[in-house]
Amino acid sequence: MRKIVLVLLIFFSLSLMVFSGCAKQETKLEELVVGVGKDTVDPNGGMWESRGLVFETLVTLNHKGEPRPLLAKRWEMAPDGKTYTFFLQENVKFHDGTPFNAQTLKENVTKLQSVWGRYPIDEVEIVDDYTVRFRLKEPYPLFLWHIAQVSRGMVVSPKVLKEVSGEAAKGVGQMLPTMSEDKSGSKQGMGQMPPGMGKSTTTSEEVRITAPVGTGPYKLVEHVPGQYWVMEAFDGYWQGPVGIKRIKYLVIPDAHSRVMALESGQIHLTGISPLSKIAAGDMEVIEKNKDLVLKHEPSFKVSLVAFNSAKGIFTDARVREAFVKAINREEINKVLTPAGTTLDTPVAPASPFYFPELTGTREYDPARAQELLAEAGWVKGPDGLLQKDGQPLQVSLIYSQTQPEMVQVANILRQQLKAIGVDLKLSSVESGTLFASLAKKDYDLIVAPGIGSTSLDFATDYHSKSRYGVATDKELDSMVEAYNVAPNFNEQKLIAKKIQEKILADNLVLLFINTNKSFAHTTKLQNFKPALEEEVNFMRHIWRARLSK
Amino acid sequence: MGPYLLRRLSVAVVSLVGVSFVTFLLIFLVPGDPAEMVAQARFGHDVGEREIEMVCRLEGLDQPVVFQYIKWVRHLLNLDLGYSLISRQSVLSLIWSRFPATLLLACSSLLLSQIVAVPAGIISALRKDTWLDVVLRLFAIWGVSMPSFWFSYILIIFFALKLRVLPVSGYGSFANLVMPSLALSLGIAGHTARLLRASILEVLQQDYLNTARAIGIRESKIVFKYALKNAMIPVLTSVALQLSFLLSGTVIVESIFGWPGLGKLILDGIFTRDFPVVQGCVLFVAVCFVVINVGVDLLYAWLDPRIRWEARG
Repeated sequence: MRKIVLVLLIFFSLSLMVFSGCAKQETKLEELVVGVGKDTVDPNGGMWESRGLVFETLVTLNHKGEPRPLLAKRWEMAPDGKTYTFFLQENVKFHDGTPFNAQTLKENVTKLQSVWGRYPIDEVEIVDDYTVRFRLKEPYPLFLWHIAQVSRGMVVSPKVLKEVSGEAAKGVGQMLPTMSEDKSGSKQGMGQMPPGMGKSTTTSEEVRITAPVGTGPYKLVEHVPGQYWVMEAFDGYWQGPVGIKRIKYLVIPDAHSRVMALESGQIHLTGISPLSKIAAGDMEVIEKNKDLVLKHEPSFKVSLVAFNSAKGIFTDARVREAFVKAINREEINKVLTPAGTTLDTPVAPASPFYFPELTGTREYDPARAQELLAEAGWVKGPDGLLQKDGQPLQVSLIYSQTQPEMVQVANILRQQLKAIGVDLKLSSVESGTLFASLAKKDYDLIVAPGIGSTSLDFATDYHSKSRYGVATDKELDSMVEAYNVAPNFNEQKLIAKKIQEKILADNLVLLFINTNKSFAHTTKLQNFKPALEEEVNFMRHIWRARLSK
Repeated sequence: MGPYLLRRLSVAVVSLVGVSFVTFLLIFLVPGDPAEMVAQARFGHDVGEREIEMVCRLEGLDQPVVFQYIKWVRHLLNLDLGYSLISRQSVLSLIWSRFPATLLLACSSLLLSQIVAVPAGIISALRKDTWLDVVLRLFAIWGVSMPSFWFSYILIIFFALKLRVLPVSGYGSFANLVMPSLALSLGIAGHTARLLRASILEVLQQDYLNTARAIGIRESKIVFKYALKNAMIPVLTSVALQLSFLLSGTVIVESIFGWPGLGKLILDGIFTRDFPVVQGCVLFVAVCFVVINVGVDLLYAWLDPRIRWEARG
């Protein structure tokens, strides 16, 4: 017996030694601690959650979704829509001291295919040290909107761009979204790249970012996988002195623990990315706490509860319309607010392609719903459920566990559809299964994550050839294709309206859900104004914030 | 002892092969294409056929599952567990970076539980049916039935939010260790105390102890020297099993306290279909199971000479 205890004690003290060896000495600098759900730093130099603090883009978007200067202080677009001239900020340096100028920008564009290869760039011309002219093969009205997204327009120190090939490519560098020869003609990173460009992914040779070195206000100084990473202020930041000197991202996988850590003062800020969402039930707790602030920022993001109009009972447009009429969105909004809201239109109010005049076509009208279903041949059976040829009207809704707000929404949908005699089966799956169902078009109703919405792209969600698309309509296809090659912004806006009218007229989608970005911080964090969307660098303004004692 | 150990080890190798093959199959049976999930993790959600094909080709995911398994085993024979499809780190280094945290948490919660459970079990047995026994047994039942995630939140609310003496989450200092260890040890302590009580009561009925009493050996010596050693055998089995589970199955507690352990690594691997990581971790945990079990068998033999005799015969 004594020996067992002794063995256990030795075991224990040995592991304590291992443990203390791993533990890092904490410095006592003033630091902002951000609670995140997952370690998104790639040891080979990539990062996701805090990428926007390290890398900057030529332009950015304001809260109205309009392009605004960042590394380019102004720009000109030629009337043909194909030539963009960027006038660059002077006195900008990368973290490694390399100056940012026309030359370094050109090196980025020509080398970093995973970012720039997605655009139909014909030529990059250095006009002078701080002026660069992009000549495109064809008009690309959303060019500024797309390069405003960090992953699609980041500028990296040329010193960390290295070519890797073959076996070596397996362990080195960050793999960023690459372009592909998509058949859908989607322009968001796909489609019309010039021949010769974009080949880099098919061969094993590729230029990769081997370390996170950009022009942003912070640089990555420490990363302990699975636990935390630390960003430190870049002293030479071109926009001025950085307020908060250190930012520590602490990995807390559990959503409730993150909120409790915020309450206890262990972290100062959370909810800044889709991987660190605040659970609906915790919002009340935060609101009641006078030391904490809960904010809901609007976003472009629209997820869809979509019909499978390609097969099954929803090929009948009357059935789709009946379902839309059977939904009382006010009840759903009650549970979604303040985290989000349902929309009348496929595009969110924050987007430049939002048209208020398109609203009002999807009013709650259960009587009309009944009529439409009767027209389609569905009659009430003895159990109160609708049936046709002895088959009950039974449909399933697939949604992902990563969408916490969907649990309640799905249950309300179930009740409301029950009222008109529809049996809705709920199927909560993990995201891998959801994407597989989307890709195989194997569902009745599905919650599509609305991938395209943030980049003002319609092809990903609504082109029939798109992998995760929910539409199969030739006419809509040609509209989306026309949208992608529109000669200018105004033309594109007109087509965007027509596309939305078509989606609404065909009732392709049961419910549009616009989720807000809900985040919370302690009152100690002052002067923090988030940017629109994480794609355009949600925490971009954190360098102006202060942390009071 | 030699042939006994050899027999045990050969059974162990067979079960390891079985475990690895079943895990491999399961990953491919789960809905959701691994190539698609890996492509999404690498390129973002807007992947097309081309990215998926590229991942398929680069990682050999287009080959039949059996070929992939054989390839994996061939690498394994060179002690190469492969690379993560997502982070492209070697699986061995990933396991090695997480294992100390898991081991520490497992050992500390096991130790903590035994410190409480062993005296409680003994007192309970010796003071059978007294109020003390009833109270201890109630505590034990409470410990067994309290879900660990629930107890975790209660601990956080009490220690981190009310008293503000411990951090909610993290890893790296003694203060971080306290709550997760407590949360995990509660159930084990309850279980062990109940088992030990029952086991001691049973052993105390044995004839040889009556003989010892008749000879006039002091009761305390009877209990601590003769009875306890025999009563420990079933307890030891249960503790070994608990340790094995602690090394793999503490993912909920790890998530709540932000503890960077193996469980979380496996779970993330499953969600992203990062099968080299899942495979490697499962195999590693299986090896731990086997080692612990063989170790326990050896301890039995040491505790109970009869087993040695049987093994010889």
